[in-house]
Amino acid sequence: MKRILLSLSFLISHFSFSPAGAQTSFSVMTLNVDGLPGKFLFFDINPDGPLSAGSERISQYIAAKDCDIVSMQECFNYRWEIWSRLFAGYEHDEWTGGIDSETHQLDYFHLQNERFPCDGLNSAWKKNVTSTAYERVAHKQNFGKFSHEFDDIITKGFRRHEFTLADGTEIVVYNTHFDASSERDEQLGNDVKDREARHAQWQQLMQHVLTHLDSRPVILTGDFNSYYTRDDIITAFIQPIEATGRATVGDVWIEQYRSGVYPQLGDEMDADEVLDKILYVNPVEGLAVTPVSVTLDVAGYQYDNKPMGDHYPLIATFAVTRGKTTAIGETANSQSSNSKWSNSKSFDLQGRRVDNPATGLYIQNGHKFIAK
Amino acid sequence: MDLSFAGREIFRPQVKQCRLWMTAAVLALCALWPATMIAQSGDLQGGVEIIHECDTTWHFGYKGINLYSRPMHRIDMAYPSVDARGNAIRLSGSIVIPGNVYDGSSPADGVLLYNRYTQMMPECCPTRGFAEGEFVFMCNPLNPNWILVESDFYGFGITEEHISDQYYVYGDANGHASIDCLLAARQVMDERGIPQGKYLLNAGASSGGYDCLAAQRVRDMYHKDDIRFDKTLAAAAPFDVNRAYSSYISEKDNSKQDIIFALVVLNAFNRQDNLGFTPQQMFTEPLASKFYDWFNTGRYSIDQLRDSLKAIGVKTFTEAMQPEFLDYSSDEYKKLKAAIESHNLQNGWTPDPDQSYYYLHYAHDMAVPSASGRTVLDFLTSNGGYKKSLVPELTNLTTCMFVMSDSHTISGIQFMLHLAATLTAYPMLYYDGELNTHYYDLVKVGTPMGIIRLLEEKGIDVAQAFNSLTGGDGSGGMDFSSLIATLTTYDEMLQEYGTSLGEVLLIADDSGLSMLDIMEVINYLNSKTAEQAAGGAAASRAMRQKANEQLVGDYFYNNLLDWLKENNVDLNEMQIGL
Repeated sequence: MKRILLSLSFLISHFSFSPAGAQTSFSVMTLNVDGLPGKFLFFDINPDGPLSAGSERISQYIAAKDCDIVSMQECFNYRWEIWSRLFAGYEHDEWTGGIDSETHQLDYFHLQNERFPCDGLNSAWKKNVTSTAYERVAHKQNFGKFSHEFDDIITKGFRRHEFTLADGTEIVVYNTHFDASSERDEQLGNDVKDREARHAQWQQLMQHVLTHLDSRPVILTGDFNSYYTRDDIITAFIQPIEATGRATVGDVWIEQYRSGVYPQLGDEMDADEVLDKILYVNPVEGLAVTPVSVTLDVAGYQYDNKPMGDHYPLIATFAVTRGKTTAIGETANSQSSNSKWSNSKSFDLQGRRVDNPATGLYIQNGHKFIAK
Repeated sequence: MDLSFAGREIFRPQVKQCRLWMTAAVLALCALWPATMIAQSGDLQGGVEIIHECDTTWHFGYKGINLYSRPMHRIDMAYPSVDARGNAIRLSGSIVIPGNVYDGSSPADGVLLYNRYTQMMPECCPTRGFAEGEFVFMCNPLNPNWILVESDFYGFGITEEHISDQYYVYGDANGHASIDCLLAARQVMDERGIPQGKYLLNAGASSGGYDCLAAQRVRDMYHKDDIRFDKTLAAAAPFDVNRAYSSYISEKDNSKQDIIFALVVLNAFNRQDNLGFTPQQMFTEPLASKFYDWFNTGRYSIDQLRDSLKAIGVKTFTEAMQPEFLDYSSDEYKKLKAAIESHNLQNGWTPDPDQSYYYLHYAHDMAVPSASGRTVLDFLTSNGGYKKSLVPELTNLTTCMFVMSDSHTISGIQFMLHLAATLTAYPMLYYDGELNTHYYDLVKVGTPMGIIRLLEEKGIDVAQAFNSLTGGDGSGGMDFSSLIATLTTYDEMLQEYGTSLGEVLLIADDSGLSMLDIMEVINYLNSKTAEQAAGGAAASRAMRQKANEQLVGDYFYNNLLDWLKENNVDLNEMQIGL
């Protein structure tokens, strides 16, 4: 669960434009609030976490950002602190418990049979937004009860809300936290079962999205613990949805920063990618959303010159359009023309970013071009 | 320990009824299974039959006080197996399921194939509800949620009329019985839909330790595809019977030696291999005249036999045996030795290196000589590539031979307490299908070089400390031979403890601190330039202690010891017929 961000280089990035036919807009934040206690039993599980005082600062930060919908992960032991600044302007969904042995009696001699009922997820939405339906689903597959980041000691899964925005627009938002793998296990190549668990979770999420897909756009937020170069997100999630012909899928980071080009599985990791993601699914028939701004707020999420937690907030603003959506490539193209990075990012045919393209065939702004 | 009620099940009438049934079954089966029929171990033709089933309660009792009770569900079954010559036979065995597992309120962690230690009386077998050792590791506050599977072995249960011909440490005969019992139990539990958990352990102490290694041999040779032990845990096993026999002879006048097992073993080989020695040829009078009644009728327990030997003045091997059986050059000795050798478990067995072992043997075990146990270590290490380790679970093999005790019984009790800790710790250590990586981080420090590296990371110059402690002048530590020469000065001190430097080094090696480790440390230290102050050795010891104290298994083991202490249980006063 506790992760060190691989890179700080994905700094503040903004772009904005006004797609034709935009009706309304809304903002979404996903943030792992790093809410594990410092100690559990005799283990130091989060000694450098924000704990109580830091969680209040995080609450203050979230409130100041004024997003319409906030998806939080690892909201365990400090939920009062996290909610403290949100009560005035936000509603929130259920809190399913913390990691402690006082509220959850443990059988110390058979810890293998223990699982905390909590998922650590929590969603908040502005008071002018209404949650009309809510469902909580546990992952069918997790890995690691006493190792591999202890994912299986809690009941990880996802939550699905059907929201009605202030102007009556209806959207669906998922909040999730996927199986993690430790850096050491990754370095040792000992994370196969973690990858399998994440793959299964992507598939389970995909099936859930398809089962409930209607004319409303779907936003998927969370700490997915996934990198495109490490986890086959495309095969497990994106392609199966698009193959139905019922919807298209986008990732705000891919649209913004990679000109719509997905990193390829097995390639060297893009240092700018983070584990937290905001994806969106636009039904072919119905409403559609288009990201108009994306921020990984590294600079703003600081206290005393240190990050407030072990993840940075990822914030996206979406415009809602009506009618048929465009294909992903076209969407990316239209967006990237407004991106301050768009003209400088090139990728080879394997999806690897190339800073100074030599002679050959490359992709830029979603289109192939020949560098001479 | 007063075991008047410990481990006895409460439905005696059913047992009596069961005995009648079993006798009938045996008579019927004798007709059905001609002695010439050859069958393979694992062939379950003839089927598995439930012969008795009951809810029962196991107790941890001490001096008449019940310290712990646990409901259990026992299923007794008859199953097909083979005798020592490959003839098809039917044996009996038990499946014992903790009540909370049987009623579904707790999941089963796994199956423990347990091999009973010496049985001399018919009522001392699993299907008679006797659980004198089992209650130690199954019926205690740790509440291991494991399913116990154990064979009666040939000569007990439904074959009790053949009690005089039990296969006592006789090749892998009981190994086949044990493995077939496991297969039969699996079949019963599969048919009944009883979940069997994720793990499979194989364990036993004393003759049960021998049989557990025999079961491992049978598994390695015939059942690699359908059985995989997660760990085999054995203790005080007369693994190399000839080596044990030689040890008895070399200590033949030592009255501290517990010769009872030697007599049972030699008797078993004489009878099973039809060597033709009469009791008068093998044993001195009056033991010879009484031998058949005492040892072959199943009327006496091990404790009673011990007392009886004392009563007739037999305290040493010399006093029990005819001189020819103590003489390495005699024909009698050679004949017996050849018979024993022909059934040596090491014959034809190439241990599967993917299997994991734990072995315990007290250094001065007076009943089963530790020389025999040392053969276990040497055999497994040289054949399977097992690496000794100071730290349990880090590698395959760990011994407790460093315990300077002569008590075979206490080693058995300690083993069972360790088994209880293992049963509890194992599901947590291996829950994720591999050794818990955080645990691994912890235990890897517990090696000599691991400790040195850690100390150096903390800024302690171990080389300087080493030089300082060994009187070096900063130009380097002692060479290995100088160090040994210095250490020999401690011999006199060690003699007070009944040991010597040579023995200490030998048992250190058995316990995992190999000469290679020692050389590695010394060479490393001597290659360094001394820089800082002393103090490393003390810190090193503290680090090792800390690492070991935090071991998961030790946590549970110490928990059990605390519980026993709170209940004023003195391990030295616990008496089991091991």
